[in-house]
This record gives sequence, structure tokens and C-alpha cells, in this order.
Amino acid sequence: MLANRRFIALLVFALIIAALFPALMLVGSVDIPACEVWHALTGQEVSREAWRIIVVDTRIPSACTAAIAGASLSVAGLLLQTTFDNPLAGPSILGVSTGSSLGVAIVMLAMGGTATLAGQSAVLAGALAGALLIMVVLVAVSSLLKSATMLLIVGILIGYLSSSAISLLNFFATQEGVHSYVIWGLGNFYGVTTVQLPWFAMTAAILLALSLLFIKPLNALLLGSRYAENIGVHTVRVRNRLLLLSGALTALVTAACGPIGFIGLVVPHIARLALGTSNHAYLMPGTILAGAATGLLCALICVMPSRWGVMPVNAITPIIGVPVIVYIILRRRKIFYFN
Amino acid sequence: MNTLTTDHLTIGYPGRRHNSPYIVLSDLNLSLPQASLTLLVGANGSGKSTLLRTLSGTQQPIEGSVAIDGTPVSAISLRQRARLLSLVYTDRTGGGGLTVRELVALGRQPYTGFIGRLSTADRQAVDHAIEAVGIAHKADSFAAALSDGERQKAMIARALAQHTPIIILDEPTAFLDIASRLEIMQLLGRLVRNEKKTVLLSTHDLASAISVADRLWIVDQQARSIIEGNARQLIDQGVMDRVFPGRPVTFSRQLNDFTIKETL
Repeated sequence: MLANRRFIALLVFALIIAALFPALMLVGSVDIPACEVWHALTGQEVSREAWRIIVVDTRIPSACTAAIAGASLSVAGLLLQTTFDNPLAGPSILGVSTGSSLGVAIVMLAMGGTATLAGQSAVLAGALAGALLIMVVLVAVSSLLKSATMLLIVGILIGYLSSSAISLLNFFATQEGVHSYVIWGLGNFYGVTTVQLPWFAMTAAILLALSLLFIKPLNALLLGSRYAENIGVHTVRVRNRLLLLSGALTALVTAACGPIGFIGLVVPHIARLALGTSNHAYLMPGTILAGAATGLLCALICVMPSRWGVMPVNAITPIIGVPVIVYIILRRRKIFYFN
Repeated sequence: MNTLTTDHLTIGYPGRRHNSPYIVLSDLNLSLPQASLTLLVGANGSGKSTLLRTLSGTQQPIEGSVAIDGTPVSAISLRQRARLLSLVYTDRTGGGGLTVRELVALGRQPYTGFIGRLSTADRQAVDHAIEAVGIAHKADSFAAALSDGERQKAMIARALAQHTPIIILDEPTAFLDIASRLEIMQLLGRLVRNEKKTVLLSTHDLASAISVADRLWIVDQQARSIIEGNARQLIDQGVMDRVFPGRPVTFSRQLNDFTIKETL
């Protein structure tokens, strides 16, 4: 009966993804007839070249990006929540995405906001370098600290330091630089081009596959580090690897889409509620599917008011995220996964 | 035959830089005979938990060594140690979103492969452990839905599923009501007799524990050492009164527990 509920939840997430994907092909700032979209997708003749380009070079990559980003951030959140035994841990809390932002801020504000191709790769490099730097600091501190809670606090503090550096950079930067940084910070799923998409997808797939390999130690960590150690888990080593993995997932998405909040924090809870378990053998695939579905849903809401173009992702994620968090706080006793 | 032994073991905390280490108990030569239940008795802060941590290898000794079947614990890998020694602690843990069966199955991790898939033998070991502690009717309940007593039984089942010859419990019955305390002590006694487990537990609850204890380890705080021996003999020799030196309590043989000293 329990197993049934879990499989049904996984199936429902998969169906939601299957429904949202075609919706994202049809909805956008340009109205394209459904049959023309179908022609573009299947490589047939399309009556207007512009429609073909919109579907193939914008809608497909952005939908894929949204799904991949959603899944990656959600898994990063799940890894951190279990590692820190804290329901409010998430990719944006630990300073990793702030580190990414710092890297991007340095690049953008130094260049004064020029949107060239070279500038784009520099932004990408900046985001990855910033996240990597924070991760190295965190892992170094992690080896010194036994308590996961202390480490979480250190992570939050590092995040604040990065934020203050970003504020200083903004203060001294040109207006154009600040503008392009603010736009980047709003988040969007349109940064990955058709050429970049396979690389983005492949990297994410590798990192997600690596996460699946941690299902066994993650389940052991549910009992706390002392019990985990007693059943043979090298807790500090595993914690460092999980930190690196979740950091890499966050860095990848932040480099591609900007700092996207809430998804990584909220989706693991949605998956727990739907599947009714904290067993990672089910929760991990559930979180991947629920994350992809949430990413697609955000992307769809972003393009819904088609007249005004695309809304920023970070304006949408709290609309989905806040009700879930409030629900969790209010019904905490019913959601018994964390006691 | 002895399963776990210590050789001139000194426990405590290493000093920072050039400070000398803080020594809790020193020069301990203890042993746990196979298939026996040993009770570790001592006042708060006398070093019971420090000793249990050192015995299980999670804390380094200051001097001397701990050995399981003659092999020093420090030379046994974490995974190998997980097959020799299992632990049960006092406090409630996470994992409330697991069913009792899933929780107990975590005890099989030292035996399962990289993915953690359970074999038929693993499943049988889990079912047997749940059966042995008497919570088979709760096997499919969430761990969070259990009472404290049932939950502690589930944690003991997890230790049983680990198939270790030695089980160490750090105050397993604290916070439990008297019925659960007695049940758990009877359960541990059964494990020693029927499954030939070697059990060491620390407890303040002597009234429920002494009837099933074979041996006592009594922490003598003044001597910074442990007096080891047959439970009945040590009690008859009055060694229990060394547990609380200078405090107004004495051990009553009628009650099998400490009681207020009668003042004249």
C-alpha cells in the first residue's frame, strides 16, 4: 500500500512534466498556431521562418533548461536538508549561490555591463569560480567542525560576507554595470543556447547520477551522524562529498540561469509530502521529477502574460514556494519527517 | 571468552597545544565476557558516556587500548567495526519518515552493497529483529508515530539487525515510563540468553536493571577508576556506596536502588 502511494506520486509528477512540456511549446509572447509548432518540432516545413526559430531556438532550449534547473536545484536542496538535518537548508542559504553571484558581480561590474559573447562566457566563468571558492572554504571548515549545525551557521555567515562584497561592488560600479547585474539576478531560463544545451544537460545528468549513488549514506544520515558512523558511514567524508555535489549542482544552474531562489528549498518538501516518505530510494527520484515539474511550471507562469514578454523567474518562485513553507510551518506536527 | 577488553586504558580529552590532557578515568583493565549483560553505573559527569564512546572507537583513548577479540579497535575499519559492535543512544533521532521496517533495515547497511539493496537474507534478519523486540505489529508504521518506548525498541531492533556480537547502550531507558523500562531490560536479558549477545549498558535505573545484570562496572570517581565484578557480590560488598561519595544517598539491597541516607 505504501509502495503503491510512492509509485503513484512518481507517476503523477511524470505526467505533469509530460503535460507542461507541450504547453511551453504553445505559449509565448508570439502566438504560433499549434499545427505550425508541431511542424517545427518534427522538422517539417513551417510557413514562417521566424516561427521555426522561436520554437527550435527559444522554446525548446528554455523548456529543457527550466526542467534541468528545477531538478538540479531541488536535488541540491534535498542533499543539504539531509546533510544538515534541517528542513530550511537549501542551495541559496549556504552561500554557494551568493558566491556565484559575487563572481558574476565582479565580472559584470568590472566590464561595465557589455553584453558581448566574450562577456557571456566571462559571466559563466565568474559564476562557477565564485561558487567553487565558497565550496572550498565550506569543505575546509567542514573538516574542522563536527557539528552540522555549526557548519550551517558558518555557511550562512559566508553568504552574508559575499553579499556585503556584492553591495560594495555595486556601490562603486557604473550604472550600466549595476543594471545588467540586477537583470541577471532576477533569473531567467533563456540564457542557455541550443548549442550550449547538450553540455548543460550532460553536466546536470552526471551530477544527478552521482547524487543517486549517495542514497545509502543519505538514509544512514537520517538517524544522525553517531548512528550513521555506527553502521559504517565516514560521516565527515560523506558530508564533504555531499557539499561538493550540491555546490556543483547549484553553481551549474546559477551560472546558466542566475540565482534562482525557493525551488531548492521547497521541492524536497513537496516530494516528501507527495510520496509520504523520507527514504531517499524513493525521495531522490521523486525530487528529480518534482523539481523538473516545478521548473517547467515556473517557466510557464513566466510566459503566461504573453503581451508583456517574459517575467523574471525569481518573481514567480516565491508564489509557489511561500504557500508550501507556510503549510509546513503550520502543520509541522503532521509532517513528522523532522523530529 | 572475552569479546571486548581494555588494556591500561586512560580516557579523557586531549589538551590544546601544550596543556596536559584532561583525564576522566585512568588505567582501566576491563573485560566483557561473551553472552553477558554488564551494567555501567556511575554519577552524572563521572565519564560513562566518554567511556562508551572510547570503547566504540568514536573517541581516541589518551593512553592504552581497546580490543575486540584481541584486535585493537583502532586497527579495525569503520565498516568492519559496524559488524562487531552496535550502539543505541538515549535521544530521539531523525528518520521519523521511515517505516519501522525501513529504520531497522538501516542496520543491514554494513552488509549490503553500494546501492544498499536488501537480499532475502537481509529481509529475514530485519523481520527477525522486529519480531525479537516485540513490535511486529508496528512494522509498517512510521517511526514518528511510535511512542518513546516503542521507538527505543525499534532502535534496539536496528542494532540486532546489525548482527554484531556486542551491543552497547547509553542510557537506553532514560525518559521511558516504568513499564517500558522493565520491558526493555527484560528484552536485553533475553537477547543475552537466547541470542548470546554481549551487552553493555549505562543506566541510572538500577531498580529495573539489576535483576537481569550479570556483572557491574561501577565508576569510582574518587579513585578515577572502575570496579568490575559479579553484580551480586559487588552489591554485597557495599561497593555501590562509592558511586555517590559525600552525597546523602546509600544503596538499599531491599529496594535494589539508591535511597536517602537515614539521619539519626
